[in-house]
Amino acid sequence: MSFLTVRALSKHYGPVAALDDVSLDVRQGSRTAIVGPSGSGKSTLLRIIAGFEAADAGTVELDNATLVDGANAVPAHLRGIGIVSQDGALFPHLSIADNIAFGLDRRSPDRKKRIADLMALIGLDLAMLERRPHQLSGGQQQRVALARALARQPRLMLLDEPFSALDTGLREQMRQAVTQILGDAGITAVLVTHDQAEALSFADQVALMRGGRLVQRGTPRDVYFHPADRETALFLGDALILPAKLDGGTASTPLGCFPVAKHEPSGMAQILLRPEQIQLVPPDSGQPQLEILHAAFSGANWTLQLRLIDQPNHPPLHLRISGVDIPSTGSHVGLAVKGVAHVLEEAEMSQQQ
Amino acid sequence: MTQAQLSAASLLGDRVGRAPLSLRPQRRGLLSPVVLAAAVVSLISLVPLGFVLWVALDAGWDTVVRLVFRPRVGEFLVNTLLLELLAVPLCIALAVTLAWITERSDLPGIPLWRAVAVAPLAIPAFVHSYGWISAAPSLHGLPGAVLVSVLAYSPFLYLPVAAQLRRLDPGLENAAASLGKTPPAVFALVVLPQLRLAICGGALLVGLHLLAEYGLFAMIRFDTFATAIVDQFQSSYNSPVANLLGGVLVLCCIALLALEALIRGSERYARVGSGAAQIASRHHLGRAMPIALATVILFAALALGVPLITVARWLWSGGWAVWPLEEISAAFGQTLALAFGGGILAALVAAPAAWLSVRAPSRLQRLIEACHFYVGSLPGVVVALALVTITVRIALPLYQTYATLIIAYVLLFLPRAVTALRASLAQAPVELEWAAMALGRPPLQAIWQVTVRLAAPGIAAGIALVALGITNELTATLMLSPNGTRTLATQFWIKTSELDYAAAAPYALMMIVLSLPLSLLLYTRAEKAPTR
Repeated sequence: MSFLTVRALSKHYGPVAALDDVSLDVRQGSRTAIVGPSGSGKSTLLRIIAGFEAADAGTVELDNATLVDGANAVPAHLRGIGIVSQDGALFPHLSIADNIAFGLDRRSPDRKKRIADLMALIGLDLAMLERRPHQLSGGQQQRVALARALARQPRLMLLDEPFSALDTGLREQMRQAVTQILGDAGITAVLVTHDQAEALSFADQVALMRGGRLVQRGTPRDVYFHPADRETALFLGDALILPAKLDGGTASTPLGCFPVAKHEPSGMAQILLRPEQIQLVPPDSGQPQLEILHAAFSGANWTLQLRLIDQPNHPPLHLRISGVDIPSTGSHVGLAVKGVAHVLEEAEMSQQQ
Repeated sequence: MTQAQLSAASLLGDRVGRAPLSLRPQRRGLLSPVVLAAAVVSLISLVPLGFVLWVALDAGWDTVVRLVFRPRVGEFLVNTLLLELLAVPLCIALAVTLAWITERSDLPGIPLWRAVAVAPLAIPAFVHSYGWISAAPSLHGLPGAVLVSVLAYSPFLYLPVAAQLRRLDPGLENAAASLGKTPPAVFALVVLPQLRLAICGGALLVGLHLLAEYGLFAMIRFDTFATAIVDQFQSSYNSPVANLLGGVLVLCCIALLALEALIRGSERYARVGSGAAQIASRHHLGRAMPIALATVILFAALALGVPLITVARWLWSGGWAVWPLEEISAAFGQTLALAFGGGILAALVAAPAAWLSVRAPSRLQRLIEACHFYVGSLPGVVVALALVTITVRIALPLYQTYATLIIAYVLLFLPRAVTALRASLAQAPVELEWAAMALGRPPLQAIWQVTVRLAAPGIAAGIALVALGITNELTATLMLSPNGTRTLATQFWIKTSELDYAAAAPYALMMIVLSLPLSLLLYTRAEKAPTR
């Protein structure tokens, strides 16, 4: 049962298509992340859902009520959709208390109590109520923006890169806090971000956008391990992409033979391995061997440059793996793969997009 | 944050009342009311140009030849050319020197000298003239015109040049020094080129003022197109000669605008790379200190001392007799009413174009904005001539009414209003408006409570800037005001025309007093605003 339904939404700026036939379903109470590089149309999609911008064509429905139908739309202030934007968009001329209460009815008798409850919910001290937004840190401002949006009990919460202006450590912490608050309140949330790790860790459903199109959607695990194409695969994380010959559930590659899903047709294809699937093992005469050309340490990971000993013409492979004991430069290793390799769609097709 | 126990139920208590949802068509593009309003203002601002074209066509080529190709007109042209060629470069040299002293030297008392460099703005140009002919009655013609206009108009160049100088990245100068350049070479090769945009913009403003000014040159007995047009107009109103001279004057303005665009070019100087710029260190003057000090003191004496002492001297010699309080307070009140009435109307009229340029830039918007800006570069005489002719021919009831006068003011000072509004609207990001709408405010209420509230200081400054212009406006006021109008400027003008300089002094003082706070505002805003 879809709560938010987007159908065939299109939006052009002059000759440029910001959104091209985008459709999306969001279940009630779920968390969806729309992820894509800048210019992919994800923010445009969010602004049309919020009602700040008009679509050229397509529909948006929320809870069975039509919000957008082509160029006709329900004005933003009647939609009951909350939004937290990248910099919080707190009103600089109002105190924190007035910011939070901005969407509340002035005559509401429990106004003070509501503000206090919301401050407790976002974990801010009541002493901050009289401050102005510029006297708060970035993280605190984002919490106030969340409280301000929650005060109206929105049916849908839109989060427009709300964590990207924060420091790395704070970002993680804020993400968990927001996830928890929204989850406890049972509010359906749509997050827009260009940070794949954020998208994967926040959402139940990840929707990937590129060039105004929605190229793939699914659970975080699904899109990470089974990306539709090469570009998506690389956008979502490090990947080892190898040419392979498929034959009945086995892919033969320069690095050896790996299992793939049985239903894959035979023939030439490209397969994807995530670094998490790969382990370095001592060299084994039956398997292709690799020489470590270079090993760069970067804290949690090592980035290795590897050469195939049997095939001097094959370009060197780059592999990021974690571990304490990394064999030294010049030594020979083999690779072991856990799980199933994923077969990517035809390269030609992904290049057309 | 461990408030998870706060249950979802308490949060979702009573939903804020929601209206039933109904789809509404969204108006966009050409049909939006804002675009329509801005387009209407643009069309009205094109009226003076249309008038000039109409004059040329209506008179016919033979009349144009007979009235325009005359030795007398040639004389005006030569005068104008000489004035521009002498005054503008001198103004640039003076302004750059003052700006360098106040921004880059270690001369003691910098805040005072900065104020001195800007203060001539608070004195209307024709009061500068009044000061000089009282102090040196023999001063007249080209030398007098150049001297007084350089002193009166140098702040128009000083303001942008000093602001730009303050913003320059000293990293570039340090790099040039490390590459072996001497300080004068660094200034010529690195600093001066980066001041080009500020100098071009300021020089254009000075040049246009030289073309448009009437009072300053009339008093110092120097004939330009503007003085000739007003003389013609006063001897026989609605004469083809005045109208055609107006046409030639507009051609001069267009030539100046084109020249500036040509010189400015399309190059842009911007800091490459990010990070906060360093603050430039000040040069140690050492033995050059007395020269710098003498320069600023001499400027203060000529640009402020002469007019202020003249006013004080006439006030002293006139005594209480020159203070007919009823007359003066009436003129003061009328000036204030016109100034702020015109200021508020200009802000309202400029709002659609300013809004579009911040929120919906497009090709059409740039065209609309260009119309708003061009009309401000037209001389007051031309706008006044156009409005006189149009009211006489088409809308006689409007002839010599306050309505027409206010329209002229709004057209003349439209660019000031657009610039101020544009900058202040840019202070209120659209995201805040969106946030207000997402929190349930209807669009107009969201704009009023958030955008207008945040832009209020800038809007007020825009109104004040227009009011400053109107307070010191003489030409269009003389030509358009209804009988019985007594503003400070016109009263001052009447008294000086009667050679009653003592009686004119109180009005000069009132104009300076009224202009001071407004000039201060202009100064503090120029400190903050980006160039162009």
